[in-house]
Amino acid sequence: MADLALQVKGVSKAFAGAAGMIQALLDIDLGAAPGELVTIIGASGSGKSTLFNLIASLDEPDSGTIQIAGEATGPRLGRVAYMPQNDLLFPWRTTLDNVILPLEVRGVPRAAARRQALPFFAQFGLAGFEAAYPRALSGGMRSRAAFLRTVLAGGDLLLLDEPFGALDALTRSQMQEWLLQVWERERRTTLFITHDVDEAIFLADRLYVLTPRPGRIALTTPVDLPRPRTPEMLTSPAFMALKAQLLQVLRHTPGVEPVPTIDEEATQISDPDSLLLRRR
Amino acid sequence: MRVDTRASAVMRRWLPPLALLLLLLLAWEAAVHLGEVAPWLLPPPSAIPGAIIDDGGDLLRHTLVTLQEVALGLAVSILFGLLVAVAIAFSPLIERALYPLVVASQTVPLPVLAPLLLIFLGYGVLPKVVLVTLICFFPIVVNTVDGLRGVNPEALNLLRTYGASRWQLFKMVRWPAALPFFFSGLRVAAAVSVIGAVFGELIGASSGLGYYIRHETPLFHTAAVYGATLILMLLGVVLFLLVRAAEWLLLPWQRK
Repeated sequence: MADLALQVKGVSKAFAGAAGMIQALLDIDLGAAPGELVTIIGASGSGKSTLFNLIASLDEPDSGTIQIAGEATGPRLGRVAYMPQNDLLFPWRTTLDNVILPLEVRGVPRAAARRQALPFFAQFGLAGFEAAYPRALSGGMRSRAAFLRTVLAGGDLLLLDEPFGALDALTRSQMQEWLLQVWERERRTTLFITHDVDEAIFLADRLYVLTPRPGRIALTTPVDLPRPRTPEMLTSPAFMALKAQLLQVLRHTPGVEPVPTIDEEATQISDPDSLLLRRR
Repeated sequence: MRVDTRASAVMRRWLPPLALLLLLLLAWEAAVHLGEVAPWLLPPPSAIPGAIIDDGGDLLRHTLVTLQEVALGLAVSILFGLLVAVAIAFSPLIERALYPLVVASQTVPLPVLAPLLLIFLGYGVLPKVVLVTLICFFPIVVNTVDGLRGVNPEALNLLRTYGASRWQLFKMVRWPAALPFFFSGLRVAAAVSVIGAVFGELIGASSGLGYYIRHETPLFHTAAVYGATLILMLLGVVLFLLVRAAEWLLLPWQRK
């Protein structure tokens, strides 16, 4: 298994909290094959973002190892492209100058970086907004700009931390389909964190369920739905069966409960948001 | 009736203050005439433009002196204020050492300080520049420190994942994020800067509008004193608007 794009082995991490140490992650094992799209689902407080900070090497684990493309040593900074929950577009930079930020940090001259980024704008649905400041962009466009910035950051691994969490349900499902299109073209290894069960299944080749306090892997399962994925699959029997299984696991997780529903299927159709998990 | 919306917006904005100002001036004018107040005691507002024109050459010379003091003081404040702000924002040690002194510097009353500065630095431009700086650097420092510190740590982390150095974090995130705060401080500084210069001139000087006012007052050239005061007010307003214009030019993303 030396050729895994990402291998996380036995990683634990604790933080000092108000009421003593908080075990954010406990003995996490996790892997992604090259080109694989892996989703991690868990409620807030399950240490998802901590896991990403460790993989992006913004922080170091208390124990365990993290390997990227088989290499455990060397700085992971710059090898991993990280897209945070908040789009974090800088208001003082135009859209174009926002997306070239990672290139500029690496010392690419601004003019060259702009030339490199411009061809992507049409593909990312941002054509005509190169010179616009972020506040002029819609929520979906901001997300796509942040994603383009992540893609331009290069790196062997994309880490997407609830990138569509702030979007409305309709825009989110459009963004999911669009993300899959881009991913199928680029085939970059992608780790996608979400607290939305539908999103986790819809996107994934493989799916991990993370339980909170301490954050540990409760379930790992391949998602065998055919690609390309279509919105119709959201109601297919295979999808529903997997979803039922996931909800079962999540429901028996301490500290987390799904929003009470009378009829799962009916609720799922009328309001896709109702199955979001909430902290008690 | 259709009105150009932009023109009507300008009207809505400026009509009330202008109307009120005009009303007050008319009341003043009427009170002077009806009450038969002596012009050396309270001149009618209509006498002020004439007084300014009569003494035009002198007033221009004194205005330029005051303007020079204010401009120098503001320039030093900006330089000094930014340096101190960056030092405070980046070094907890410097913050602990310096911030109390910065605050304390604002608690010393100007009437106490100004004569001392004259003793130390003479009757020329220098003590006035120091007074202007003392007043102006404080709002610049306080606001800029807030701006440099208020940066979203997530934004810094994002750039760290790209491999950004400390200098790049400063140049690409902290500095641009702090600029609007710096300008808020500078606007306040510009508006109050004239006070420092005039105060120094009132205490001891051989030129400047403060000197002019002190010189004309015992001669009961009251209209001329009002004229000089009007110029001082306009100076403050113009400086404020200049900062606004610089902000508009330098922070295009903040334009409404």
